[in-house]
Amino acid sequence: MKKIYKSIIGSIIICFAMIFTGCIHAESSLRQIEERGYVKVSTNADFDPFEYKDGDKIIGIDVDIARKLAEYMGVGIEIDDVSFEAVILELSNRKCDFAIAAMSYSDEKAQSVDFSEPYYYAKQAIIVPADSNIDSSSELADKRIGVPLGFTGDMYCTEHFPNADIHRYDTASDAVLDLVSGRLDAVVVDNTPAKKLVNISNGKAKLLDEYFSEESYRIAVPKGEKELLDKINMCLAQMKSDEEIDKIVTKYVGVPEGESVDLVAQIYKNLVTKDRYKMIFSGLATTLEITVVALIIGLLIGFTLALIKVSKSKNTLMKILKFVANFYITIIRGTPVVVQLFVIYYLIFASAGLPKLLVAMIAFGINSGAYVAEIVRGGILSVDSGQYEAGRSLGLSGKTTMLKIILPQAVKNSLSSLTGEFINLIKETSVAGFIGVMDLSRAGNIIRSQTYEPLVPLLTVAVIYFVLVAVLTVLFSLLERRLRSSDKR
Amino acid sequence: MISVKNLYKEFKQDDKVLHVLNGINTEFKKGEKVAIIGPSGSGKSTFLRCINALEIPTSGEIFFKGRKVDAGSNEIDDIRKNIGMVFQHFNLFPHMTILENITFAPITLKIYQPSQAKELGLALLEKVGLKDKWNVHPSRLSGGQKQRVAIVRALMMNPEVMLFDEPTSALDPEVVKDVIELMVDIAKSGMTMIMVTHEMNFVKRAATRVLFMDEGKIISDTTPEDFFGNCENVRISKFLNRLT
Repeated sequence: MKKIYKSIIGSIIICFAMIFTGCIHAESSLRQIEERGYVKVSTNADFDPFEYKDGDKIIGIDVDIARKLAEYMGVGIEIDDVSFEAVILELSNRKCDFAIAAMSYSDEKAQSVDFSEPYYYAKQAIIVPADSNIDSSSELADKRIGVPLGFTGDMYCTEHFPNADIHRYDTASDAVLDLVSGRLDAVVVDNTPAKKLVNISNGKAKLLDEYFSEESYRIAVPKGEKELLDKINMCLAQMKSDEEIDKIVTKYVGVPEGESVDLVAQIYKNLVTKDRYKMIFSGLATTLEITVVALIIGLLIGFTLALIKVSKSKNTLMKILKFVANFYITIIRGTPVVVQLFVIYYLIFASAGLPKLLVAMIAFGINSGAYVAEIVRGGILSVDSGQYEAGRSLGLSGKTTMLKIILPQAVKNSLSSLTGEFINLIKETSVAGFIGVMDLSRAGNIIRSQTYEPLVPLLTVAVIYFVLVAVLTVLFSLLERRLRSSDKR
Repeated sequence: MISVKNLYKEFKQDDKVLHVLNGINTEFKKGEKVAIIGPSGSGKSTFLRCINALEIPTSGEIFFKGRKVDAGSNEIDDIRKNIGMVFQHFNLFPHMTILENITFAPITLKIYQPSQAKELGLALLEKVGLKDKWNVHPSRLSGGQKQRVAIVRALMMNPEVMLFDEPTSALDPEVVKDVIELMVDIAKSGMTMIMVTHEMNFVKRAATRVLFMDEGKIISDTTPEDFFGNCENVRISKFLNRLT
């Protein structure tokens, strides 16, 4: 059932990545897995109850099935959480051996990956408010319907209810939240999550006794790995006859945490229960790590480019460097950071096997570098030309004059803009979640998708960002004041 | 010591070409104190700035002790070390203290050890009455004090010639005297000096030679006595009349 697409960007990148990484595998995957001793599995831990995060563990029906499958195959397992559009990409790039992410067969996807036999059958359920008059799908034709973007419910409703007002959400829980608050008449979503969502709504929503669009979930493997596919199918068949899959599903459906009665209870549930605050802290640590390393990379790149751009040298090498610097700055400032992150992760480092966190640091550093370059260049140009002349007239070289006379003044002049860039950087790292890095924002989103209560996780995340920025602003203004006061000593 | 041959300088402004220097030929000898005067726009400052290659002439050549002054050559920094420059707007380094301002270049260029530079710097500051300011930043000084520091900065390099580009034009009238006295002292010490100035009293007291420039040319090259006594030249007398 799961999404065929999440965004146009995703699809474009998939196409590019397939062109770039079409055919680079020598040994069969199965052989590699056996040699390695464990299997690498990708999922998109954003679809409770099939795959989601509890603390920083990835759990869910699919995850347990994958673990059981590895057990049947006689190997260990390593599970990786990536965005949904990345799942297919990781397969194409052979960054993982197989993917399990509540995926159903589609001709489109079958062009890039091979699918196993079904391990689970899903159908679409209709959730309506408890006091709703709607009692059959035929009444949905002109209603406000909420669906998770790109999921089966989305595709079915788009096709069958052309006159309906369809609202597409990132997660099913967001859709149910809007249903309960009266912004929707119905939500169409897979029956398994639907059951759980209705349970959690504590009587505010109900399921209609009508289902449609039955489909099957399958495991995806890289194209052409027949040996591996046969092995998986064999193990799945064995698991079915051992009733392992039924056991796993029962374990995950219908264990609601109950609705919080007041704010204190909400805070407790969203932050304390299951040690969820730990997720926030580790997300915060990740955000800070990315920001600090990206800032250092950005400053290095930025200062270098700024010096290249203001250089008066007219030799050929300098001309080339200037062209490169201008090209880099124009491209980076002219494209969104999310796209840059995707390009760097999926194209440039597609086969380098670098940790995601490092890739995120590099991507944000490269992005920040372009902005820092322009800020520093502006700072250099703001220094009176008499300063350069005074330095040179004393016999100092152009380089010494630039580094020791001009640059210190330029930095001071551009400090408030640099602070602004640093603050922007902190906030921009919130898109790191797109490649599956669990930063502060993603930690909040994961908690929200587990508790179905948006207030506390969103506010917590917002407050933490705000405090971070406020503290930094104060620190930088102190630094700036110190630098300025030194002028007047 | 310095010879100037056929110096031309053009600036392109929008579509117009401004001819700032129109064929300058002259020589400066060791120990001379040359005042360059003339109406604004006559090219005095441009000419002075060509001498240490802060301005690049369109054509023509300048030689300093036989070495060609060329902004693009490897020798230029070495030549500039020997040519001190004092600017109209001082151009002190705002992020350095006074002592750092005057010792940075000699230390960086290894003319003195840091301790020597400091000692000499403090001695020179004392001479110009600014020793107590050694550890403050330039923003704390008055214009006259800044210019005296700027002169000390140039002196610290032990230059063989000093260029002054309207050193008193940006100063309040009451502090001009301090700077002039300092320049007279330097003149007495035997330094070769080339100065663009409007201070006729100073020219009378210290200059050994006066160049009068107009429209990018040297139109008179005389002793101060002849210059101030000579009212035959219409342009010179017009200029001098306007000053008084």
